Amino acid sequence: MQVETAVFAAVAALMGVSTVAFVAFSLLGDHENEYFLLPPAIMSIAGLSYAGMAASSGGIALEGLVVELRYLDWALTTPLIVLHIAVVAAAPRKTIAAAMGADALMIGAGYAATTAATPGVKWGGFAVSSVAFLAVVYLLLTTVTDGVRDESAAVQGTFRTLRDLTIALWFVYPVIWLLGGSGVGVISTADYHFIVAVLDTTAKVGFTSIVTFSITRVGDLFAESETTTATTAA
Amino acid sequence: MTDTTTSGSILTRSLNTKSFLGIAGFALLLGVTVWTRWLSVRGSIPAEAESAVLSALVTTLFVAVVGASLLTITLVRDTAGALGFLNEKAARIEAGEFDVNLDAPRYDEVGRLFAAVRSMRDAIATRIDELETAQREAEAARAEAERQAESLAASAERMSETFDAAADGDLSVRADEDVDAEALATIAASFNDMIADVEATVEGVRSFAAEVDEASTEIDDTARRLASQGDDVVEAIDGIADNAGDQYDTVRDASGELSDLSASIEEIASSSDEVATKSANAAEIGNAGNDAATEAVTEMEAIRERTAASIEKVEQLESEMDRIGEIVTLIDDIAEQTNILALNANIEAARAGGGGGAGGDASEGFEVVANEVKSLAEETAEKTDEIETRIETLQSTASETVSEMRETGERVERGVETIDDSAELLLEMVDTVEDANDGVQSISKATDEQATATEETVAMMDEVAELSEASTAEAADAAELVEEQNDDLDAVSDRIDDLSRRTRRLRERLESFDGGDGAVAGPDAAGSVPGAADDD
Repeated sequence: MQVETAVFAAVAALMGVSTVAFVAFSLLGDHENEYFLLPPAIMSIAGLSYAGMAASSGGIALEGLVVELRYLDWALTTPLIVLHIAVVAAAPRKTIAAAMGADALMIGAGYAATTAATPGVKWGGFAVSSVAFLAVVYLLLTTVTDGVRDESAAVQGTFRTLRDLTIALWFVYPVIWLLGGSGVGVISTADYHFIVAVLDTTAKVGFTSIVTFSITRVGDLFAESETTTATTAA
Repeated sequence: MTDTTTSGSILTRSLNTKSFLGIAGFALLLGVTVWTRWLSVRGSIPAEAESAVLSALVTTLFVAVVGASLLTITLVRDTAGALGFLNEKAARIEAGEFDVNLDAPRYDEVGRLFAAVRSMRDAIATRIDELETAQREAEAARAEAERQAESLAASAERMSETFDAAADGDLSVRADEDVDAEALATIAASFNDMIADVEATVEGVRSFAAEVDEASTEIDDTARRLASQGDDVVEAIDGIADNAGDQYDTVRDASGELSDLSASIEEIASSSDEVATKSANAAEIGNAGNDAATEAVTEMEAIRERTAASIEKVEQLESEMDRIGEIVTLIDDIAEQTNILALNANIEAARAGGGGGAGGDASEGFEVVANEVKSLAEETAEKTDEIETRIETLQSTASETVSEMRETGERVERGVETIDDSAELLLEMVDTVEDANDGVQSISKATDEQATATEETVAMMDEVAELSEASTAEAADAAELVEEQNDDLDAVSDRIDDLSRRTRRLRERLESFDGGDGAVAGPDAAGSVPGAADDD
């Protein structure tokens, strides 16, 4: 239990630092709309969630609420990540709404499967969640990607990196869920938490890092496409 | 742009493929390692620790693969994105856009690559500037050489133009002797001397040529005037001919319409004649009726007078009968008195027979006479009664006759009145018919006048037609006049030909003189007139 708490606390600390860094970065650029607030928001929600999980597992507060806090975190941050990717690609509003809705369904069904008392509910929830995840992936690869073709090569590159990183890492979650305590049980609960912590950190810090470094990777990347929605990536 | 994007995505895709293959290989290698390590340690550890070890191994495997993937994606994306971006910029430089922004605020290999491309771009730009400068200098040198050559050529060109002008007859021209090339200056001087001599020679002939020119011009003007007049006359004749044609058409149309009108008028005339005849008949019949009525009235008057006479006679007859009646009454009175007398005689007779007997016989005769008188008186009374009865019958018959006569007279008077009315009506009818007759007569008169007018119009048309013919004749006369003018023009033309022949002879003389080499500068300039005849 102590290792687990330490891991949660470490992740919380890392995300807290990242939040500060991204807030500082986001304050540096000129912004045409409110989407630059998304990376700091994602990082701070995740950081608070991990702090809560550390407290819960360490027996300080919020006892027995690790799973709830995690799914609450995901329920808030994953739709925001989907929103950010779609906004970079200047996707239509209906597509964005559909992708975010499917994402919320994915997290909700996942929570139901994880906390299920019967195998029927568990596997049904897992199936619904998986289908919703495939729907999100489908939308990101088709409609959302179609919207980015008119943008510059640099914006397309940034979009593809964000999209591919997110899809690749999100595919790992159901696999380890199946290997973990809720599934076949190859991975212990403590190890499951550890891998999820690593994945969360990688996904969120990696995502926001790419967004932030896109500003500085080449000097006039966003100077050239300042009028496009992609500037919100700053 | 499309080109660079395509090449950039190809670059990215190849890097992606490589990184994906790398991650897959790494994951496979790690998986095999974890699996073999697990198999090797499985038997040597306690059973209760087995699951924890397996979990730890799998966890390590996942974390390692995730970490490797993150690292690879980040690096590949970073490099591929920067290379794609640089590719885009290079394409723009290639298109000549040297001021493209190549600043990259990073100090890694990519940053250095951007710096290298930047300095290469600058070096190319500098080299291009140098080349352009050298090219401009060479252009300037070549332009100077061309300018000099053009100056010489221009001098020669001007001189050539001067010679051409002189050859074309302008002897006032002089070549520019102030030229750069000495040879050209010498040529110009020689030419100027020569052309001065030629000019002096030509000047002598110019006055004669001017006279000829004047004369020719006058003749030419006259001929032109005549020609233009002839043209005017021809135009006028054309106009007359056109007008005559129009007139002819108009007259033909009018004639057709007049023919129609004439036919209508004739119809009206015949109809009105018929009506006039019929109304005259009606008037005659009316007059005859009136006469008959007048006769009837006269006859009626006669009947009435006679009836009146008959009534008078019947009344006379009646009064005669009254007088007869009075006589009869008188006779009747007489018969009565006679009867009384007879009675008295009887009485006397009776007294006489009773008193004497002597007198018996006388009384008896007396009595017989008295009886006789008495029977006569009685018979007379009877007859007068009969006469009276008859007279009364006659009187009543006469009265009836008188009343019948009076009735007849009244009827005759009524008949006379009726006949008078009829006669008046007949007279009115006669008046009406006469009025109608007057109307018809006036129509007939108007129709006659129309016919007359139509005939007059036809006559006028004929006159117009005659005028048209006259116009045609005049046009013919005018044509003859034009022919005469043409003859005149021929005469003028002959004179011009004559003059032309003279001018030609003059030119031939001039040409024969000009044929000699260098003769233009000769002293015999009076006969040498090159080009002067051509100018005319």
